[in-house]
Amino acid sequence: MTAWINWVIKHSLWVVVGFVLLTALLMTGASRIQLSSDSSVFQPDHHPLVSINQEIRQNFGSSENVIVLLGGDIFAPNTLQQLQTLNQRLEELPNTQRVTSLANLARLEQTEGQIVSRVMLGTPPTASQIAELRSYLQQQSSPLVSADGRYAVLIAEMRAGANPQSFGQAVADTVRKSWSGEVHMAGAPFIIAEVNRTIVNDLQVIGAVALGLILLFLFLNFGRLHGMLLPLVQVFFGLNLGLGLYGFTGAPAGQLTTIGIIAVLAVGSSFALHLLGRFYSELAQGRNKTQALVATFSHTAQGVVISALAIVVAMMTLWFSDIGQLRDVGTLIALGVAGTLASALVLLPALLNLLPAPKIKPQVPNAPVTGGLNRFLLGLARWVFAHRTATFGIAGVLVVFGLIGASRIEANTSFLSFFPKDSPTVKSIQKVDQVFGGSGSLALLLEGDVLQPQALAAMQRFATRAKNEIPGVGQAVSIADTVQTVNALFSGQRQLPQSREQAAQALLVYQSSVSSADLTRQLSLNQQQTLLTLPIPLRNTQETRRYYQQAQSLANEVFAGVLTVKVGGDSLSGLALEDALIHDFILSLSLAILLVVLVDSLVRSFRAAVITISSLLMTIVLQYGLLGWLGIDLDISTMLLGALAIGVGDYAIHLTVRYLEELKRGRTAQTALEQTLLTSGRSIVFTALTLGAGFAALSFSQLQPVASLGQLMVFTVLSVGVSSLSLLPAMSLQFLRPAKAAVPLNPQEEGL
Amino acid sequence: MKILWMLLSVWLLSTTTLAQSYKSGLEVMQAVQQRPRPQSSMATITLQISKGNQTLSRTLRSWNQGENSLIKFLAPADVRGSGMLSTQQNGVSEVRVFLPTLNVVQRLTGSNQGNPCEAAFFGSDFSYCDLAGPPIQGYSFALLSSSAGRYTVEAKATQAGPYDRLVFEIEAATLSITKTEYYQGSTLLKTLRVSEFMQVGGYRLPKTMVMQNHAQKSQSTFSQTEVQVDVRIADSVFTERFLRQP
Repeated sequence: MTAWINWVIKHSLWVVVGFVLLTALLMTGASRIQLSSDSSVFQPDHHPLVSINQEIRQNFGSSENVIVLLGGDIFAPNTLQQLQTLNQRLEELPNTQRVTSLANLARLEQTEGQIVSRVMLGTPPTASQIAELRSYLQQQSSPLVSADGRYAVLIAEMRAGANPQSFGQAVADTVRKSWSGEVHMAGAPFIIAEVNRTIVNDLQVIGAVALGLILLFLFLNFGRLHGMLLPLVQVFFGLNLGLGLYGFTGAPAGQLTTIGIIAVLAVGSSFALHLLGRFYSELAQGRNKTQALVATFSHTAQGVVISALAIVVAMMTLWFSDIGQLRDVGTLIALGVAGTLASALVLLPALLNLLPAPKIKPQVPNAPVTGGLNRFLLGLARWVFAHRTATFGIAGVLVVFGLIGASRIEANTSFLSFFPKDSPTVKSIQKVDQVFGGSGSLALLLEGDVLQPQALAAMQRFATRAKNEIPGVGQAVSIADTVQTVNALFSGQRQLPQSREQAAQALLVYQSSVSSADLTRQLSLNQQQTLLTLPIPLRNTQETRRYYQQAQSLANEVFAGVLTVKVGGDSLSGLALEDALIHDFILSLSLAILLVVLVDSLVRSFRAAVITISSLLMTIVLQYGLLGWLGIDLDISTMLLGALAIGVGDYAIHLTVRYLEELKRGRTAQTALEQTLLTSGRSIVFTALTLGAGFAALSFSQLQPVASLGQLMVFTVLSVGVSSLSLLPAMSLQFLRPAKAAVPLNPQEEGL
Repeated sequence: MKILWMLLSVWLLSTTTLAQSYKSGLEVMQAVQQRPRPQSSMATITLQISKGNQTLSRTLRSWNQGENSLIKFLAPADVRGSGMLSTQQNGVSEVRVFLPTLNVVQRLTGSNQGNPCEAAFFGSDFSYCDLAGPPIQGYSFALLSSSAGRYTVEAKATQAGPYDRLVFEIEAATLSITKTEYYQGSTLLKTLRVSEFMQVGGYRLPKTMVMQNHAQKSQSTFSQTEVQVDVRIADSVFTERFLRQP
């Protein structure tokens, strides 16, 4: 490191020019990053439910709908006319496959020997048409209107292959412009559009808030513009370097990208904070700029490198995740931190060398400690020295408290949990669920000779029993309904066909004018698979799991010996995600701990590594304990807490680095600890505050998991700070000894 | 139903067509439209729809003459004997469907057929409009290129429809459309390729047409064999009695 810093000092100008040019070149990669809020990015690569959903999509296509609930006096002529206009405008949207509502409801009937399909309402609708419509809807118990006639339901189906986000946005905009009354919406494209809108907003607002707070704490720490702007420059170049490299990987930006960027901002600025803190301290001790730079980068840079490597490896453990977006966020933070480390070790010293040295008040040897913070740190060091057993005892109690809390954690990975419980989006979806009978759905993939009469009868039996025996579900829809409707038109009796051939011929009539997408919506081309859809409300994953288990159990009973059954559906993606998360959580946390210990052991010693990580582990236990005690769900974001804490919280390493350095210099354990807390301890306080401020900005996110993560990360970095200044010093006193014989200090240096 | 008739008449190309230079896209398309067409036809059609690793194959026999047409399913066994008869009298079209298991003929009114440009032909990736051949009304044409014995003509919709734009590749010597691309906005929805032609009664007819549906990731193949053209088909063929015959 000393050779490196000497080389940088010698070629500072070229180093700056080269670094800026390299960053500018790599930054072009950032333009390749595409925004993607598709829910599929959260699906694990390997999970039985995901495999079933893939099989369903492959054989039956994917049907993405926006379900719109429109409030008003639905059967009033002007309301129906408004509905007709809206229906038409939505049909005219470029990516609309079809729109279904009362406006185009067609009645299939047999009259005078003819089968007639007749749209029930004319334009404008007449009183007699409305009366007939009301009577027809009562007979059919249609989901297109609520029982009290106060809400109409409109279903806008997206054309296959279209972008769900832009379709959801276009439908929402058209509905809001065309409907004067109450409007509620649900469905995947609508949720995706809402999430996307929130991500864009978050990236702008949260990024600015985080940067502002970080700069504020940097200024509070150093009290000079020099100490505020240099970290800003270092982080700017480092972050762009990381983002550019991330762009070249081809990975998209998603719901968790904000977390990644804030983490890089906070962590990156902490590097500069430690390095500048040491640089100013060396200047204060009377060293010139070059000497201060050499001393800073020969000693403190070691801690920065270990800390950065710890974060990088902790984030790289996410590469073992089964979930694409977690792998991506791991890559983003790893590259971003690597970029900010490069910038801290290359650009920062070169700039410090080129710029005039700031005027620092010289430190007088043996001068009394001044300032509230310094006096507090010195007092803390002396208290810990005298009460290390009590410190261990308090830590033990907190660990038990945390473990009990952690056992109360409940997972919830529903896409709905992205929004606050009282947000307009959630209320909108809940209202649709209430009136429509479920905006989510389970899909039963039935295999066998599905057109056999007994198979069709079993499908109808399942629909009836599900409605009666599983509270909250809607009316199941299957190929049996289609076959029965067409068969009734030919046979004159509303009953299922008596033979397989009769069913096939009834379907042939239905298929005579439908598209291949319609053809395979319910029945596979080989007619050996069919899809039965059961609407369920969109709730948290625990309730969804309950619906899943009940439907699976009922299906096993009803279809036993007739058809084989697999239960899937996009609403179950959350369950697959939940299972994968728990697996990933354990894997990434264990790997992160092992790798951080390994990296630290290679650079320093195994003992120092274990001591540092033990202090961190206590805070992680507390962190998850808090999650359980506060009833915060374990989700895609909060799952990241452990790995983030291991990486981000590893600034504790600076304390043991400095403590060993002070011991090596010949100080006694007590004065080494006092000196460590006054120097590295101070940096740790401001690192914790700076990181906390960065993560606090995430609390402003409108995406609930991101906001929860932000709040918990503030707690984490602050508790890592407290632990680093109390438990870690106590452990260092107990277990750390200098590796080499100490060089005795002169009496003047020994004093504080 | 009339589509089969249109298929045979509009997509054909007379071998006597002389190579000629056209200045605009409209001229090329008008020349394609104005080719001679047979007065009647009979054919056996195989329609194969594929999606993923699954395939649905249906074989049917068709009769077309004037405004009347009839199709009868030959395979698979479970729909064998089912048929659809389409007739037009005094400008009123009527479709009758026969299902052998119920031994019932039902009449469907025109409204059941839906929008021919939206409705697909028996669940395939061909809409009735696709099979009807290149449109003239509601489109403006531009000749994009005319080289290597081939015209490329772009048709842009001047009114709302299922496609915003179509691009035709046409053999200059025969005026046969060999490839059609269907766009919605900038998205390529489907591609139709005439993979094989045949000579029947002095007409050049498509033997095999393959429609690739890019959005649905499916493909439909329409093949015709045993084709006879310009033969007099008895009026008794286009009756309910013949429809019921196995």
